Amino acid sequence: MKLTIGFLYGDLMNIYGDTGNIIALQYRAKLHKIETEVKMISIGSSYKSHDADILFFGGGQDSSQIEVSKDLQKTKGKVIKQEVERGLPLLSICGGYQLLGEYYQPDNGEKLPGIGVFGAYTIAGASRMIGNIVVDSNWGKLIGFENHSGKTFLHDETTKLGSVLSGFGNNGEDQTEGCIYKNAIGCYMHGSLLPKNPTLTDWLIKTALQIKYNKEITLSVVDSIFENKARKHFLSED
Amino acid sequence: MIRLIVAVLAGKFIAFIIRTFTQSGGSAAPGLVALYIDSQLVHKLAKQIPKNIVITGTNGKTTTSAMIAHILSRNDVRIIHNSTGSNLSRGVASKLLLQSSWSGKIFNAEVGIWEADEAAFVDIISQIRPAHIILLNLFRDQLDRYGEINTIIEKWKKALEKASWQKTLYINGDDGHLGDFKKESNTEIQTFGIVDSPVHFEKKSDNINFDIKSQILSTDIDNTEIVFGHNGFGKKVQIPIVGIYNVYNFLTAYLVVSDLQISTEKIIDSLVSFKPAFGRMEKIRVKDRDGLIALIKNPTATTQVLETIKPMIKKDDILVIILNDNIADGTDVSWIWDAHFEKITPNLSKVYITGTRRFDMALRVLYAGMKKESIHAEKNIDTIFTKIAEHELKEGRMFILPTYTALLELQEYLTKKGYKDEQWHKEVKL
Repeated sequence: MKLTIGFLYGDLMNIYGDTGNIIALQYRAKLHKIETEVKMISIGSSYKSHDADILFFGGGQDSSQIEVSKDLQKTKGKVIKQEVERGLPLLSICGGYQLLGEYYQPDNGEKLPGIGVFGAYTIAGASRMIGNIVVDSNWGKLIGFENHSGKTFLHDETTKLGSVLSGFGNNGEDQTEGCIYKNAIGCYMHGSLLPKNPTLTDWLIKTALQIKYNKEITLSVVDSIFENKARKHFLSED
Repeated sequence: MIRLIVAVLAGKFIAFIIRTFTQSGGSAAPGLVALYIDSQLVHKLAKQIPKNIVITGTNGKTTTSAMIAHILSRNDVRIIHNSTGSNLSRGVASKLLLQSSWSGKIFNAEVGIWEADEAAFVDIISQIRPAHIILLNLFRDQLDRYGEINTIIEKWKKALEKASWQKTLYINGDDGHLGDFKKESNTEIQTFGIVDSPVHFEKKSDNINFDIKSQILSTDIDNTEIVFGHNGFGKKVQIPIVGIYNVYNFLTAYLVVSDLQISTEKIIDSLVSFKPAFGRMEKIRVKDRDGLIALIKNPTATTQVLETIKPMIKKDDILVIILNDNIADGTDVSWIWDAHFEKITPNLSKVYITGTRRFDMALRVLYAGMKKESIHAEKNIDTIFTKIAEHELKEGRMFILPTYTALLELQEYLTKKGYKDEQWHKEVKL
């Protein structure tokens, strides 16, 4: 079996170790004996349905985010929405998460439109929320490092990724972190997220295979000793 | 005048207190207090120095300023230099006030060499008004602290446009981020670069008309040999420090020192005795085993270090990584995922890891392709050296890569154990 990982705007949106998530997907897939290929989907490249089996969308600097927003509004946003409706697993972090929401409102300046995968919106905040973060989720405790000033708020009917155990999360106010719609996840967890959360990595791989091959998939149990050591050490110190 | 004297005295007093009660030489605190009393202190003291050089950029500041300082000192030029990485305004102020008389007079300095943090650069040049300004390179580094690259460049440009005095700008011509600084009537620009540079810049410049060009001939653990010159390749030189990026540091040091009337021959002669700045490709010997220490601090610099040591690694050699997440290291260790450890894992048979985030690093090298049984995470550096002594062949050399606070701890450990005779970091910035 084989998976194509679509790295959305990977040349423009990859800060705070977001690339580590791609490395982790490739590493764990290899353990499960699944071939992977990484496909860069960015400004100037084409993107259509079934081009990728998993999508990853990282964070970026403000100037990149404006360019990317424009490109999403043209054609790619529509395809991404269709793919998410189809059940494609997607992981987005920080800037990528914000652009998949409804909009980003900067302090002064024009609203940056999102593509509305998530029923959520983001408003520029006065201070940066920086530090280690632990979140209680369906995948157990997720751990990462957040660094954002944007505050994201979910609509009532929107599902959060999890509850903040320590750190700030979506907005530092309501104890929520991230967002889920179908198999798409948005969150503020850099870190890199996936290396230290292998349960989530494996879930993304499994879900992608199920959608692609249209059958129930059971992944074999693989060694996670190093991942678990890093988790244990992180959680005991945090 | 009175204000300056009070500021200098207060700063000297604080420095005296710190020295007496903490055993740790200077620091930023005296400068901080003195600047609080007289915000113009740096300007008032620095203007008494005939020539000032300010060096900024993401990587290479410490090595470049150390090289300039070394060449000038060897040629009997009296220098003043913030040599300890105290590269914020307060660090510059501390150094100046400690070298001045109580009445605020600087007597014994012909050239001031000032390493400036990227964010502090604007403030530092407006105070010092240097005749020589070096822009080494610009890479993404601690975005939360420095802001975005474009923002930094805009700030530098504005500051340089406002700078009304006569000056020379020395610019790395290979770094595309530094491409469009304007030549103005009061500013001369000199660029330097490497032909077919193997260094990865975030934005590579397409202009190859450097004022001074160089070509790399060979590189090994002791030397980097290059030819360089203004027209064609005139001179051959051995830079006694490993790492391609140090070629840039040498070229700019050469340019600025030449402008201070030191001849090419004298520069090349005095370079022979240059020793790398502490922890920057510094050689050590522990328990009869050779080692090389190279600071790692951000993805680009780390990847450059990895590229540099890759061709040197032999079968029995050992990699030691010390990853801390204290404030001076950056509390966010996610940068290790942006550094290309994949480059060296195929050459390596053993990795020892310690530091506060050793398990993150163990995971990083595992995901970069190391075998589990080749990765050893240990609680402290002493255990690592002991285990290496017990288990590894004595031909195996150590390549030690510490983050900033880990480097300080390592130096202290080596000094305590007698592997090093001087405790260099007595003047650590606060």
